[in-house]
Amino acid sequence: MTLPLRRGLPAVAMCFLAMIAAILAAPFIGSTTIHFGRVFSTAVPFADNIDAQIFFIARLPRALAAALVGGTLAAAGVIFQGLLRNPLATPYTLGVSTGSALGAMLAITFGASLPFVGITSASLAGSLLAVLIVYFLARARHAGLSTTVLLLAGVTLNAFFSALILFVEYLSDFAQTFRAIRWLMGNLDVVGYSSILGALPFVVFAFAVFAWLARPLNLLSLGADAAGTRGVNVRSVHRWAFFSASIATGAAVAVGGPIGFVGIIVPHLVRLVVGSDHRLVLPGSAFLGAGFLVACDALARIVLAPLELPVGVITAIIGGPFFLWMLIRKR
Amino acid sequence: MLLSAGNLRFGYPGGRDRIIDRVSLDIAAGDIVGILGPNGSGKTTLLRLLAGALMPQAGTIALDGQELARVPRRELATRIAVVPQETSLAFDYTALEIVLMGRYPHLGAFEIEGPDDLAAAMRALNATGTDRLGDRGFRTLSGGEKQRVVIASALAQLDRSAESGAAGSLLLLDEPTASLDLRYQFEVAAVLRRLHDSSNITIILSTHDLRFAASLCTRIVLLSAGQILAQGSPADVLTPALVGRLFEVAPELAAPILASAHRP
Repeated sequence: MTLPLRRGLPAVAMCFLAMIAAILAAPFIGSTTIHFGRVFSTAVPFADNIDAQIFFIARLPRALAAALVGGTLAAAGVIFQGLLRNPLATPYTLGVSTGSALGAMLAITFGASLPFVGITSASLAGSLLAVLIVYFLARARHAGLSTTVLLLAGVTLNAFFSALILFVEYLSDFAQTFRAIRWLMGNLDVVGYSSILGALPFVVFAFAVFAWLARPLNLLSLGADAAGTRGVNVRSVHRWAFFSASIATGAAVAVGGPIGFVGIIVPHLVRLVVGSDHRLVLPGSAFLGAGFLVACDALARIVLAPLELPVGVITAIIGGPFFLWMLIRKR
Repeated sequence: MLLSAGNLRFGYPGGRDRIIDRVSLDIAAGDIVGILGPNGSGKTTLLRLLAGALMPQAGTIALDGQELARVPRRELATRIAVVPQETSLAFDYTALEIVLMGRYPHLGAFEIEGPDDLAAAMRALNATGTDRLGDRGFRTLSGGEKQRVVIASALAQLDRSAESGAAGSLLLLDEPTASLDLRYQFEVAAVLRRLHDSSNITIILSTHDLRFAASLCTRIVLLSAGQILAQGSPADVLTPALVGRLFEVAPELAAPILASAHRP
């Protein structure tokens, strides 16, 4: 007998390779063709090397942002699913992404003078607020959240925050509204290295907590009581999971807008291959989620080229039917 | 005394009733204690109190003389393991993964199960006759198999070393056979008896099944509306008069059931 954990490692390694391949390939896809040789050529100075400029200034940060956002949303999805013991829980379906978007919208509209940090912290505040609501809902019904309650709570929170977002839009001028709508669609268009670096500390913190949470979340799958009698401090695991997953969501939304469905498609696919151990599902989902969103973004840039679709449209077109399929299969 | 409870009292916050009222109980190492009572008599709550999963509002529980609330969470988990009535998983794990989860209190925060943990898991699978189910998904198992795998997980949790095994520790089972077909009830009872005989583990189980309690337990506690009606050896306690009072039936009705229960 070998440890079950070991058997899943090759699959996680494959997810990692898929991510690296996507990040390296995506910058070469787009409306303007660039050539590998010319990008890394040292013969031409950077200021005159159009290919290198497109690669390093426009496309590489975009691929890295997609990887960061995709990996973070997928991992946050895994945490919410383990925490609420429900494979349909994600930052998006719980309304956490929308809460985060509301925070960011307020910063975009009313805090035009604030630097990027303003959007990040507003977005974090929004996701924390939404998560607190979910947390108290889950505590009020200590049996945990059933699929029905979970989805209804998510729908309600989404509608509530969306209404507030519309209200904020109504108060803003035309140019701001246009920018905000593009952003709300889930957009990696305008990000540069600075926004990635701004979100990175929060993402690193969240992933450090995720790493610690992986094993207790396995035991929570047996139920809170069973986990408790096996030595898990259930209350502390609950709190850290809610907190870290909302930090992760807030940081990801600050970079790319509320991109949906990554947190549900990716963990589900990873579980099909590696089983349910969170110590495998979590890294596998982070890597595959990163690769997935990079690929979706590349697709968004070429379907209607030279027009670029917001990446959230692509993930929603794939994710909506996928979610319905999961819902049908579950019952 | 391995585990002793004195004057326990408990009621859920906001609830009107005392679910457990003035319960005192001494459990010696090697006992198989059956907590017998009708539905709603507080059996599950009493088990959760004894496991340290609930804190009593009054009274004390001590493990080897040390107050339960003072024993660190992980250390307690290596002494007392609980098998719930039913286990439903949020995600599907293999039987071996479930058993390895029992190793949680033996590992550090970022530690990964090693050969010792795998060996403990294999001992537990063998002891419950589930060694061939290791790679099966838990959800694909029958009710009796599931229950035995969860018992194996509890054994892996209590397994401190290959030599001492689970000696000196307590296995608590909440209605271990309530949701099982007759065939699986016998399976689980046989596993528990074998465990007790081979490892001298102490077992506390709740049940409303007279026959099951009489056939397995060395001591019986009758629990009625949160209070102890009687406790002692099966022969002393399982009398038509007491059992009639416990289940609120006439002694004449209780007598034939008891007669069949006492038969080997």
